[in-house]
Amino acid sequence: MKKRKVGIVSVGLTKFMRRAKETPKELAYYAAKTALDEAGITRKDVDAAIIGSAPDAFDGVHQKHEYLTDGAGGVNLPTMRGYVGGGTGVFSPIQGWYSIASGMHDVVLVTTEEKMSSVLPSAQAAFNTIFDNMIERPLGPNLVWIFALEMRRYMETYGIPKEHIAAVSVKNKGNALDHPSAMLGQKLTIEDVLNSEVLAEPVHLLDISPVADGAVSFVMMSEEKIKEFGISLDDVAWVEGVGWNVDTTMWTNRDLCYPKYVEKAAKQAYTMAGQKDHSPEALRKWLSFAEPYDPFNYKELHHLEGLQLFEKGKAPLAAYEGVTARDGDFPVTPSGGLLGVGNPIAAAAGMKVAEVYLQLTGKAEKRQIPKDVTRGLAQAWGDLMQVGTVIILKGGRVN
Amino acid sequence: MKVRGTKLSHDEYMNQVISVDHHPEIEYAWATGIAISKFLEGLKQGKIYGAKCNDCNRIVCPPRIFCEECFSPMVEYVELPDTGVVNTFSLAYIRTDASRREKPEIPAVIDIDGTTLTPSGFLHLLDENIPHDQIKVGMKVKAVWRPEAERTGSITDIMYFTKLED
Amino acid sequence: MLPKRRTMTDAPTHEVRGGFPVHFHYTVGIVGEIFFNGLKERKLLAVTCKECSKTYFPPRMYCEDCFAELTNEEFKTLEQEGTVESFTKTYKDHRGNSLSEPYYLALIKIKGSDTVFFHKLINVDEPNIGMIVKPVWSETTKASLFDIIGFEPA
Repeated sequence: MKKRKVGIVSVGLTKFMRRAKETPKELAYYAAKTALDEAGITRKDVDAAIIGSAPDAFDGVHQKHEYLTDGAGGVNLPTMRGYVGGGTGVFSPIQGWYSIASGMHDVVLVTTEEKMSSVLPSAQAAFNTIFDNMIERPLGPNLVWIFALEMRRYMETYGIPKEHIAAVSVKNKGNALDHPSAMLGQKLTIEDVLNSEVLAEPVHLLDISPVADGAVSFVMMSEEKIKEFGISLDDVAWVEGVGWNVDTTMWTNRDLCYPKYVEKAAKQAYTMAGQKDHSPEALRKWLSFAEPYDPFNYKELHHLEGLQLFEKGKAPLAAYEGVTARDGDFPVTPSGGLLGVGNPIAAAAGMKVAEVYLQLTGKAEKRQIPKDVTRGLAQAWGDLMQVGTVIILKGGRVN
Repeated sequence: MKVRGTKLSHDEYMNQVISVDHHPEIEYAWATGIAISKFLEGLKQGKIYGAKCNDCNRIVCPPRIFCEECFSPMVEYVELPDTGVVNTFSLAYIRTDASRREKPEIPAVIDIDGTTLTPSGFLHLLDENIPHDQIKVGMKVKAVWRPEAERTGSITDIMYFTKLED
Repeated sequence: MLPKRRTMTDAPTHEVRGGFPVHFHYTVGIVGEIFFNGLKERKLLAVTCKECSKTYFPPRMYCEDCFAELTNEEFKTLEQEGTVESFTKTYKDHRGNSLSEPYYLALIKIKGSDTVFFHKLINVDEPNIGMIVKPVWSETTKASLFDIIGFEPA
């Protein structure tokens, strides 16, 4: 089947906040309206709406997509919600892509939203229900456990020192100082991270991204519609590749040292984009930068390896040596990521896709990578350590 | 691009802006199905069951009635020893309700001996009295069972796993 | 054909119980503040989208049709009169227990609004669609839905 060319033509972001006064649908409206205004179109021009939001238990509204429909501009339109946990924020623009690539729609408004402050006593309490209800929850687990267990397995397998992982928190929280939506931009040292409160060894407080409220929207269009609206190619980022993959939920039956599902999702996206050489050197040359999912600092490194951008066990040293700094050889998470901008689950990954768009269109302001960028990747991850979602964008004038 | 949103402090959020509270009153009763019923019944008897796939020859734990790799139905349960190897562990100072502990509990994934192809196992706790510097990935461990009369057919019928002296 | 699995089903089914130990604290939002503060003053505040000539009660931040932002519009006070658009009599509470005093719930279109409002009907034996009603206010108001006790025949 011939796939149509699809571009992102605008993005809209709210601030990311620990506690927002706005309701979830009011946050969705801010993001969606901003994206429409930036694209210079109105809701009347929109053919379909996509809503991305993670568990209903955060906003505390059952069937959240139905609740969010009016704020996401989806009233009386073909509106749908796809949901792959933390992977949702990248999956939503993938849904936008196939709605248009298939020829079904021409203009799609995609909105990712999460309001995590609604749930009490903490988001943690809702997160705990991710554990198996019959043979795990009776043990009294905490979400941090699963990350601690995965992080330990990763560090042990490849002999990774904690300092190298801590460098990711320093980099991302530092980058976030330049992001207007950020809630936790900070100038930190590796020692600060290592000396922060131990929650579940090896996870310390500054290894973790902050719970947040926020929303991010995109306008996506077919090439034909982009021409028809007279949108400048300087404002377009083309979707060149997409991939997604889900592993078994039986996480205690897998080796957590390596995210095989991220590899499979990435290879699907690279192949679709026509990139045949999947070696780290070739991929780092082909891509200008990446925004991998960083709810915890080690996850950024884990994902860079799953994405084939670094050899297994080699991403931590690269981060420590500054290779992945915004002005490094291969910039990673120039936005500031979940660690620095904040982690409103689905909207957090939406923010990463938005960053790729903003970098490729030269609109990243103080965060602009100080070299020519032609192609970028955003990746998200979720569910029970089992989902990988990947999108590759290229600049509007890049062949 | 304008980035909008109204930040609230904790006090504003809890006490100053208008809000509505909701306390859902729900409880779930999960029937444990085919394979986990067998697993829990086994625990009550002091046994750890896995299941065998006759097509790809994996023996997995916890048991299930289908093989998620080759998608064949599993045809038999296998009684496994109550020993295993620490796949990974954490010293957790944070409880399930996010409150803090002085002395950590030690969640771990235990790969159960006798599982084949790739080792498999389940989440449990390690003996809190093992000196922390002795706990290693790859450490051999053995289940410490609750007295038979106190077992209910629950994952907590195993109290924890303790270090198996070589 | 699937192999026989008799041996797989020999264990008695167990039951594991669990709750969902969370509760929720919802801020009413930017326009919710205006609406609920209106109730506190015993006022029914609405907002009109000029583009669509549609009046929302309760008011909203945006018009769901044309997506215009309405926060800068004037929030107008509607007359304390509405029409019953539909109603039901409920005999059970939200947990399914029988109520000693069944009561009416209704969709009420406040005069001047294009949307309906969900609340209780009180002081009425036999309501009918089209019936004109008015709000009965609580003695003390505190910016809550229950500042209105219910609607009664006008």
